[in-house]
Amino acid sequence: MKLLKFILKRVVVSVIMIFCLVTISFFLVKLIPGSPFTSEKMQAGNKAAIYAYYGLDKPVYEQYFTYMKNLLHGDLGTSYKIRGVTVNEIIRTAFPYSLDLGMRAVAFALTMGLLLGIVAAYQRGKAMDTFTMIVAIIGTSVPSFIMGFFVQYLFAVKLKWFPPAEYTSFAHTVLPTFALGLGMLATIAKYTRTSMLEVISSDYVKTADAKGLSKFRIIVGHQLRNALMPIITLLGPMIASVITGTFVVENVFAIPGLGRHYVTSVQGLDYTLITGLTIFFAAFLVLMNLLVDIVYALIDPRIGLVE
Amino acid sequence: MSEQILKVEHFSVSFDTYAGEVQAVRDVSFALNRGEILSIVGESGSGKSVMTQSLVKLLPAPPARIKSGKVIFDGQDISGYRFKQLRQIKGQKIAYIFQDPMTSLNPTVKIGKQVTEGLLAHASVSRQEARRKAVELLRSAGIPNPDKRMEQYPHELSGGMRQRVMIAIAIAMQPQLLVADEPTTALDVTIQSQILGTIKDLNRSLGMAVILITHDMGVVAGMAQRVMVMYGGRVVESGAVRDIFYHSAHPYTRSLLAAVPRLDADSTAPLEHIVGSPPDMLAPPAGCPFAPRCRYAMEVCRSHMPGRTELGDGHDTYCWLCDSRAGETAQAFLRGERVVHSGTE
Repeated sequence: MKLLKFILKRVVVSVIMIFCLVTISFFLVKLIPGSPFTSEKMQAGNKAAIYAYYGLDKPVYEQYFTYMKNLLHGDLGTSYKIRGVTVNEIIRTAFPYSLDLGMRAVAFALTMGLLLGIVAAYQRGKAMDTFTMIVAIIGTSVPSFIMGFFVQYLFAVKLKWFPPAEYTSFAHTVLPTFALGLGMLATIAKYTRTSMLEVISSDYVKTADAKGLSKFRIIVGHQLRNALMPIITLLGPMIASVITGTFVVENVFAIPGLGRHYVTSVQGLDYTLITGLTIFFAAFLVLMNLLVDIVYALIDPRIGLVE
Repeated sequence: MSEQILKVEHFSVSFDTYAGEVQAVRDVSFALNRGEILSIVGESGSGKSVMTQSLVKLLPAPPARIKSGKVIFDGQDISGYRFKQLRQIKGQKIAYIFQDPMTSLNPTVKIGKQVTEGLLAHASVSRQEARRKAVELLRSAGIPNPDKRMEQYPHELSGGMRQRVMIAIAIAMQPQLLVADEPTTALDVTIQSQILGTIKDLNRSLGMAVILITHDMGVVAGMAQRVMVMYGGRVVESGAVRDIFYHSAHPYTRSLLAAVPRLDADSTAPLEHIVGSPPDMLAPPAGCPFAPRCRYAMEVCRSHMPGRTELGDGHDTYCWLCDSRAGETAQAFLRGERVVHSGTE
């Protein structure tokens, strides 16, 4: 009951937040110099016809109301650049790729990151710890376009273990998952290590040890749960940004995901697509943060769901 | 079956830090009889907690390192035991209660689970049996409505109740030795006497030996049969409660006793205290650790650690004043006069 009330309250706040965001981004894109059709060579009459067709000849506030009305019906409008295709359709076809890749990357980063972090904390100062720190440094400092090209060249072109591009079978997913997940893995491993070390010296872990519990029980039953808190905070925005598509990795491996649309829509001033993708991403971010808060409350009983 | 449940010989523990080796416990030897309550007193940083927790290696290593010494528990030398072997001792035969009940229970785990998991780890019991036993334990530790408490989290309980939960956890397997590390320091006075009463009852009914670490000389007088005074990582005096309180032979013990506020004292007089601060354990003094703060310190005190002097009936002290060559200063000390030696600042 408490949980339901909390979720309801958060959803209302989220809707208001997204409404503000839509409004701001709608007017912001109109402020960018130029229009979606400036680059195209056409006669003045045709241009006017196109403007009239898309409703761009009307005053901006009128365009805004029309847009908002359509948005309430779940209609994000038609793309100006990808002719005859609605923004809804673009998201519907491209998002599944991004979602699939993103989920794989998150699963990979989370399992490996947690494992490395825990082992490193327990082997502090030993070989595994050093290895983890090296992975963490490489993962956070090497940009994904370099990592992407590197693994593609090494494992696909040279060693021919995996196909270099496209996204049709499991083998196709391995390299992009690695390239996309490594950065997250590094961050998660680093945070897990620090937070585990903090928890190891806490009193309740000593109590657990004094009870004569096994190492496994001490780690899983008493340390991990408390050590996870900062990682969960990290995870919300991380997951949101990864599963809504990433430009670089999708580009390197020629995956028809949502990532490229972020860039091309801005380059081409595709008003509806820019606003549509912004709403889509924002909704995801808000949803993930809501989930994080709920998971928080489930893990730590001291955090009540009342604000 | 030996009378002694625990015998510690020449036990030394250090911490390896970036600043160097912190010699927290230096050459501590003592013995504890079955069913006996031994109190360890001494100011913060004297090595009491480090010493008792190192008996079963509860401190993370590194940085903690047991340098030397033997720990003979129930006739067996457990000082060489590894984690797996120690699991048969920890919680089962030696149990611990720590100082701060606010932090020594896991905030994210229900009370019930924290009590039952020790039972499940040691005894071959079903979950239902463990649960029933846990309710019983909570009740015998003096917790009302134990059934309800089982489903609660630590933050829903008061400090005193949490310490009772710690006691319930500690006595789960009917240990032969309970180490209570300042169990009442974080609690208020009425709760303190209740908790100590509970510990004493359990000591009697289970025949469980207790090591009680405390700052409070009043607690010592009410609880313990024997006292061990620690300073600067060393034992400076040990003996029966009566000997320590009335015939103390070490200047540090006397200062500790003098620092206890008295109800019948002049209320305008300043409280007694020991001038100075404990030694830096990174570079402990070569001689007696108390020498720099001692009113009776002689030349020899600064350069050489005094050996043990047996005063009879198990009353031992480590002080040069008990040496027959001590002369004038020792006479003054025994008379209770203040002597400031030429070398003392």
